Amino acid sequence: MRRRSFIATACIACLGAGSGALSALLSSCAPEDVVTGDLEGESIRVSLPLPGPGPAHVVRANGYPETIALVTGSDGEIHALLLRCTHANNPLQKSGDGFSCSLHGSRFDTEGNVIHGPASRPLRQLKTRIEGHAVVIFVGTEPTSSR
Amino acid sequence: MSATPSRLATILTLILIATTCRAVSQDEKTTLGGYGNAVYTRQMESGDASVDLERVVLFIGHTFSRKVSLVSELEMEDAKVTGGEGGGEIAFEQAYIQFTLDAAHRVVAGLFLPRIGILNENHLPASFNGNERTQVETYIIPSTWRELGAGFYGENDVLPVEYSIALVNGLDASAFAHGSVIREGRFEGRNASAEALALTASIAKSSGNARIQVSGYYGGAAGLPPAEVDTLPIHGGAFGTPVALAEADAQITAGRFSLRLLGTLVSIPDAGSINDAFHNNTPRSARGGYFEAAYNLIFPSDAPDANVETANTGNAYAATAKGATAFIRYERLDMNASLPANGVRDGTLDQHHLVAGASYSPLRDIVIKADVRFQWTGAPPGGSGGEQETTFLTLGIGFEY
Repeated sequence: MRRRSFIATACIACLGAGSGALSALLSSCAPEDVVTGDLEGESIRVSLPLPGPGPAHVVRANGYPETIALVTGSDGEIHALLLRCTHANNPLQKSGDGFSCSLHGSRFDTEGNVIHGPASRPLRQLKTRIEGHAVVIFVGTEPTSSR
Repeated sequence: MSATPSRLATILTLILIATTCRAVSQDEKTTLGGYGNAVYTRQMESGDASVDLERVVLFIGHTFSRKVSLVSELEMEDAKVTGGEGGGEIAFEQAYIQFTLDAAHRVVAGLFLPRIGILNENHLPASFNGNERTQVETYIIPSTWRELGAGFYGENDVLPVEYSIALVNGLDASAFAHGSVIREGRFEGRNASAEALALTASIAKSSGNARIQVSGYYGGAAGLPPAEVDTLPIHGGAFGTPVALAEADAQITAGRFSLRLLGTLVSIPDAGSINDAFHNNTPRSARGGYFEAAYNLIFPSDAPDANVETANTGNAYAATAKGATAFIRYERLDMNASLPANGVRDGTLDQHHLVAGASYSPLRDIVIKADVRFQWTGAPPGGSGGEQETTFLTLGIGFEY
């Protein structure tokens, strides 16, 4: 009984510590991570500069059924990733330092690499181009590559 | 009997040919996947040991168009199903159509797993620590809990949060069983009564490497034909003889450490009427929670592997990444936290569990697990003595693809 009581007390202490850490983490929530783009034919135009610290921003555009991530690399270059799981084609959500799939739990880092299966292939990268004060993402039928 | 494998091979070949040869639109795509696990369990005090191929699941998905897709998972438990013998089950774990409304909203319809707790949606072997799914998410939240209905999933970009709301069939209180709270009352898509209905909802918020979620369920449990309900001392109707479940959980990753916390409560206010009708010792309430800490023993930076695919190399597959994790989990659950006047308290349902173990992945999608679970419970009804202690050693292997 004493052992059980000790375990229970230790766990309650850990719960308290965890709750404190959690409230601190959640207080830093960043809605500026989501930006709106304009769908123009087979491309989406997103105004620059991107808000917030990044490095990953979620892009949504009226009329386009997919979510895209714009990731600013350490070299300052902007990459676009299609947020569709490469395992079962399910939509991904931004979570932590990357993206996750609620269907089977696959996770990807902000470069699109698989960090947890069952997905095995990196996220599809979409072609981008800087035009003035905007980044243009090509969302037509021919993405540049499976990264 | 020897013809069975060749017959199966012929059928699979025909399916593959049919899949390959049919004209498909540019967006149409069929995907295959699966997972499974086998375990060896030894109860240390009695010396009883067993080994079981717990499950093998085949996932088949199909994208009909950019906005419409099918998700299905066919599961076989315990390797074999034989007429007249106990054990073994073949069942669809999921089978639903998903309609994408826009980038942030989608609707699902069919047999699906509502977003309740941590494991109900995500329960592949490499997704949780230990060979066994948590006791709390087995007996208080009866994962994997799938029902028939329709659900709406969305993301709000302003807060920002993820949310879901679903309407599904309710439960069958006549099937509730002593020692498993509401678990046996699930229909799981099989001849489900639509007399009782249930609403479930969840809201989750992620920030940095933390995610917090709350979810709930409220539904009727008189899943019987109205004529039958009229003869029983329970309330019929969509939300008659209600069951309510509330849950909150958090997952945090910080460097090599990861933490999981979950707490949940089930309330069955009409438990007395259910017991009068079905004599199944249904509790008025049950509750549980757990705390788990894990340490990642092999960080990617510890063992850079030239064969690992990265976004930059564009190679074919990243499955060579190794992994190892040690963990400890404490669970507390009471399946008869409160009882109606006609209930009988069973101390063995008031449980503490301490689980410690480790897992090793020689490849990303293969996991080998070993753990020890200490279980403490109260005494059985009418039993003498106090706390009972039981120890389980479990070894297992799992895969996913």
